[in-house]
Amino acid sequence: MKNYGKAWVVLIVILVVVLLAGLVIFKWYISGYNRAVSLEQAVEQAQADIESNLQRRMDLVPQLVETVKGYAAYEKGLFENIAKSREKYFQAGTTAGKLEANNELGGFLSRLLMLQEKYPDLKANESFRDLQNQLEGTENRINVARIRYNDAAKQLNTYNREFFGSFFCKRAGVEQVEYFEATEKAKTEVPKVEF
Amino acid sequence: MQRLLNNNFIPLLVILAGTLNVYAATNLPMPSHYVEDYADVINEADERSLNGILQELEQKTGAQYIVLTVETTGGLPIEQFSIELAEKWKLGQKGKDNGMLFVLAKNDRRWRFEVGYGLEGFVTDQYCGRVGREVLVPYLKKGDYSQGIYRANLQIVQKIASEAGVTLAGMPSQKSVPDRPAGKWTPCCSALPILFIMLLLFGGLGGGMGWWFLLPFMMGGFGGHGGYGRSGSFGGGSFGGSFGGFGGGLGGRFGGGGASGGW
Repeated sequence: MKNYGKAWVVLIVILVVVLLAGLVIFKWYISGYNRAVSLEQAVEQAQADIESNLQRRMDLVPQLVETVKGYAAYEKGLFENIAKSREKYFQAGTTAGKLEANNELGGFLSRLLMLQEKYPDLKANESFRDLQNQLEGTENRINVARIRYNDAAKQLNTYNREFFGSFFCKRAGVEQVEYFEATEKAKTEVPKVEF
Repeated sequence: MQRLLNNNFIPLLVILAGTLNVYAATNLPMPSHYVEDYADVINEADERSLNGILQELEQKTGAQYIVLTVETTGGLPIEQFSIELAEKWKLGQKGKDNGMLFVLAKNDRRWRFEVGYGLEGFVTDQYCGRVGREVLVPYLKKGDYSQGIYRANLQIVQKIASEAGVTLAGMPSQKSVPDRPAGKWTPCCSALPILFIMLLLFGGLGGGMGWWFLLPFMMGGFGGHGGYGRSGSFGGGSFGGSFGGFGGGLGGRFGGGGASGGW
């Protein structure tokens, strides 16, 4: 009888321990899974941020071109190239493709902005300078968004390569993401363009 | 997936190495005053006045505005230098993101306005650019850094204050930089200035009343009594310290808005 009672106590203790362990494992599982999901969400948000800034930049370009056209009508080749790489942006399906088109456009745009050295009237034009500020602003935002994206992507990819992290990522259907490289040179560097 | 990894491994290392370097470069401490003149280009009177106005701005609108001068950014583009500091210091209130950072790098001959997310709507890139080239740069070219920094930043301060509908007692009267392209005035927009004036009028009235209400709070700054129970709108009793002291960033975020230039 005495032994019987002891066995009960042992059994209950074991049960409680198993239950507690189960609870801990359950919590651990949930938090690991949630981490995978939230990391992926951070990456997606950062990507959306890049895209909205890219879009804003693309919207500014036609205004800028129109303004410059008034002063430098016969720089046709440059206007055509800008239109073409803008087209390329709208055809690109991925963020990486859009960024690439944006970088190409950036080269032509800096040449467009350099025209102010050739046409002093353009340089004195208020709306040209305002547009230039806005354009530089969006370019800077794109750059900031890109760096933040890479940070978020790094966290996700690191987690995805960890022993348990990869398990949770698989469960949550979260995959490795690609990085967006910086292609444009430092902002202070003035591009040298031959006319 | 394996292919993706292989393709991206080397560039990834390059990116990471770049980021690490960069973060080590900006190790300035959290400002203890609204004006941190490391390059020593602002004269004492301007510094004191600007400091007081920026403190009043934070007390009345919650916006945290830091004016910083340095000798050099240490080879970093000023855009990168300023966003890293703004992020590190978390200027502005959490959720409101109403932080501002002005940086002038004396030897690099570069300046920048860094605008928090919450202020981007009215302190636009375009506006910052205008203030930069119409107010700041002419003074910088004459070598009068002190007045340039003082007047240019007051333009932005005024913008933030009037948007919030408050009047700053310490603000000297000045001609403000127009915010819209003069050439593009269409009839449909003629209602806007009237609306704006009305807003200003009503905003000004509200601000006038608010000022009296704030009087005990402002005077308290001298005595070092923290937290007057209005902590909700001031982001905690962080103003208990000495007059003109900056209590630290409150979690504001930045997205790279603003403008920069050289002289």
